[in-house]
Amino acid sequence: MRKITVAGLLLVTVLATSCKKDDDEPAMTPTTPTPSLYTRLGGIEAISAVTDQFLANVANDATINGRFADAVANPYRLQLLRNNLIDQICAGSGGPCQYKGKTMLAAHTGMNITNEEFGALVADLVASLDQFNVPTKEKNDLLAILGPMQPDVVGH
Amino acid sequence: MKKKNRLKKWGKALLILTGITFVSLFTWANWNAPTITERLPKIEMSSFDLSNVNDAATYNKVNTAMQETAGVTACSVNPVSQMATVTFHPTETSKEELQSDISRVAGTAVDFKHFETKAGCPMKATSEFFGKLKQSLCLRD
Repeated sequence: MRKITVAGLLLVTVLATSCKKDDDEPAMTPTTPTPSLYTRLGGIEAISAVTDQFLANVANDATINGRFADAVANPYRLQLLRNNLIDQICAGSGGPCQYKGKTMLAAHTGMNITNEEFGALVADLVASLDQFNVPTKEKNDLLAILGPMQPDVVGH
Repeated sequence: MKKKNRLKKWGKALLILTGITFVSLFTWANWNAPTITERLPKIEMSSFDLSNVNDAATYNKVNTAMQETAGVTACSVNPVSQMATVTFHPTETSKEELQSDISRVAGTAVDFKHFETKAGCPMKATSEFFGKLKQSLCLRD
């Protein structure tokens, strides 16, 4: 009789504890992963459109267009430049691209680019992003990725 | 007879060498699939001199007309530098067609704009020959 009582108590304990909700465990709520900047920008097509507008703005900008004259005049170079820009934005924003061009330092050494020219380039990019109504957060996130390149681009 | 045989031998060797070279280049060009960026349609760019255009309204008209032109991917007009620059898909339109369209909208003959090179360009074209060869031999999507 005593054995049956102990077995019964054990069974009740096991059942009770197995049904008890553990308050210490965090609730299992489904979490939505934050989409990457690449996705928020609209993917490769959108980045390509912004890049084309950026290139057109740069070519129209008398402060810096002389730097790009060779690339604009030669469709092959233009294609390389465009692909490198798209790859850089795509890879930097978490997209499925890999930047295969030179490092910023190697690409700009010998060009003696000034802060004014770098500022003009950034303004052309911002104008392009504004034309496509890219939200402020995405714009700032993208500029935060490209901004640290300034020391490698200017003054070499 | 000996000379003929020697020529035949050399011809055969040259043919084999050409074949090996072609197969090697073809394999190299198709080794890696083009990246997502390389698969995008190609663009070209042209700049037009708008120094004959004086009013802002015409600049806006040129910009609107270009944005609506089939094959144009981007357009930028700048009254300060008196230029319009257009990027476009060469399979859909040409710089001559764009020049004609801009001239019509601007109401005056518009020339191409060439700006002077200023201390280099970050894109070196040393591998242009091999790059173009690779593009033409690559059959992968």
